Amino acid sequence: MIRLEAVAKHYRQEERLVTALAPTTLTIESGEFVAVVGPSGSGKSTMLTLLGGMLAPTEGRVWFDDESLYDLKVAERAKVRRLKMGFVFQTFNLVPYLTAQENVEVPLLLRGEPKAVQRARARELLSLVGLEDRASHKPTQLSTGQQQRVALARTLVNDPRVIFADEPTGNLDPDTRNHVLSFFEEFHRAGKTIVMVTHEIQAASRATRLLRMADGVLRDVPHDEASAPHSEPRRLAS
Amino acid sequence: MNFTTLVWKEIRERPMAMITGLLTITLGVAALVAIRNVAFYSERAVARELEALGANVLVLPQGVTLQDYYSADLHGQTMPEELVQQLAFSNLEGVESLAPKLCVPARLDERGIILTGILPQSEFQAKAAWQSANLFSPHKGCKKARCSPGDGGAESSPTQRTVQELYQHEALLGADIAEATGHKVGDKVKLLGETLVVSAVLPSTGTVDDGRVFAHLHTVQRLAKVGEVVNCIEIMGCCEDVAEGLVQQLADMLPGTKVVTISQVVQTQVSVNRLMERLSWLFLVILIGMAGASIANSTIANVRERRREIGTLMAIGATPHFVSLLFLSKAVIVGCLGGLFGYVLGSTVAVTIGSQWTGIPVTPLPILAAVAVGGAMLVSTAAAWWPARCAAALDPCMCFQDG
Repeated sequence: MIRLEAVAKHYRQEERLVTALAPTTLTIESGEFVAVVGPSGSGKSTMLTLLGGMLAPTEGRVWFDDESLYDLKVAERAKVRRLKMGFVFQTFNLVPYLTAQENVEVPLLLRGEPKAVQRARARELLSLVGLEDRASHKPTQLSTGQQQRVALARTLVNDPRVIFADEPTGNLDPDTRNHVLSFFEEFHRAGKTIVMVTHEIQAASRATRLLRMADGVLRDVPHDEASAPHSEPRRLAS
Repeated sequence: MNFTTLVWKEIRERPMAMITGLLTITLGVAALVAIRNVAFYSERAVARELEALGANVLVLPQGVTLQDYYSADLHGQTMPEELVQQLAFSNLEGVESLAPKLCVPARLDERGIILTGILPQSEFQAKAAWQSANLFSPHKGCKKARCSPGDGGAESSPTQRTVQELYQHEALLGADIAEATGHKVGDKVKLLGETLVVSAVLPSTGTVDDGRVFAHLHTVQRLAKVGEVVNCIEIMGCCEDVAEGLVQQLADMLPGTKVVTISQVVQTQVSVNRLMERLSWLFLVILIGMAGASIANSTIANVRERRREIGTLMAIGATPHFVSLLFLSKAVIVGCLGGLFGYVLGSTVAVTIGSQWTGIPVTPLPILAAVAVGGAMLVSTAAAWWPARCAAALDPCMCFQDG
């Protein structure tokens, strides 16, 4: 279970205080597939990074299971991310000088797994995303779709309990987008949790729970409302 | 994949930053190694020259001139022997050995000779052991350019080196005397009414020592019936300390005596050594400044261009420690390679150009390799420490926004 308890995030911009996320309380149960939608600048990504233990809130607490994430030491929080969380980014964020195989091995290196285990597990995951023949390619030698599949393999290699995805399909062609979302659905079916921030209604419609963020305020939205033609265009916001 | 692979691959990805840092460290270390190498051999050459000169400080009775001393020590004036003990236990920095002497006229096989009483080093050491005195242990400054005597064997010239063992019934013959009288080791010679055994014939030195006979100081005192006195105390002092006030310290300690030094020689040679020493320090400061700034600068740039990568690594679970190690390891590699290349280049310069310019044969000093590599790694790591900490303290979320 993940819980935001009156969490808010403010930034100081010169003399002005900017609210990126108004005080928000939210509970995400284990096994949920949550999509967060909303216009740009509404605080979706901020909320995701807060949930993922990557950005300390100005107010409130973020609970991951029974642990208050930001009461943990930095290294302990890193350990929670390493062992229990996975991240998928819109821009993939692959390490440019490592091959696809090595990029997938990095989380295992951080866990201290032996080389042989790293190699075998990375091959298994690359095979799962259909890129076993691209293992020795660097990110620049891969298409955007292939890069996102490598990023997905890197996310899954640690067998996380929760995936946080920030616009995971934003840069992808329809086929790869579908491929990625299918992975998420499969991951969800396996009882894992997914929190996905997206602009895209089709992507959001694959989730089991929909949240809309507007003006820093979060609320649950029924699926039919989100997909209704009058309420949102094809892309929920730009 | 292991940690090293990650570091090496990043270095290969961005080689220019590495090359710049490496070049700076290599040149700095090379300059330092070359100067230290030449300075070391120059100091040794100085030490050799001073050793060849014999003692560089003399304690003489008040009123005795240096000329009197060199004209065969027969000035007739004496000082109490207890001054030797006073000096021996004073632990003055820079005093490496003492050689008290008493010269008296004598006859050997109807020839007029000078019988010189000397005190073997074994007696000093024995006394030092009794009283736990730190006798003749050269201080730090002397280790690099010792003006110390040689091995102190019985065959050594007593005025140029110390004699380790000499028993009360033994005599040492100077080369000329031995040749003139035909005496050899094991012969018995009669001196001042007492028979002594020739324990060694000293090699020719081309000095007044060749015409002398040496015996134990206490034997000579007893035979000459002069009591516990000496004519002079020869001191082998560390050249730098001699130049830096040892003479004055000795004069203060021994009132009523005259302390003289071969100051001109010492001063000139020491000033050359000092120049080399100062140049070394100057280059060390330049090395630390230049290499440190270069490494710090390239590490800061590296952190900046890798922000997104740092954010990604943190997002997937890298600890701040891991992130800072990525940068510090790179700095260690640069430092290690820079130190190594610098040592090779510096030694080559010292051996080729250095030896030509100074006229002293120079060979590479292996110890400098360890110092160069260790020092360069230390400077490089210290310079990268702050940027590495900054990288570790980055907020992963901010890394993505900036990227």
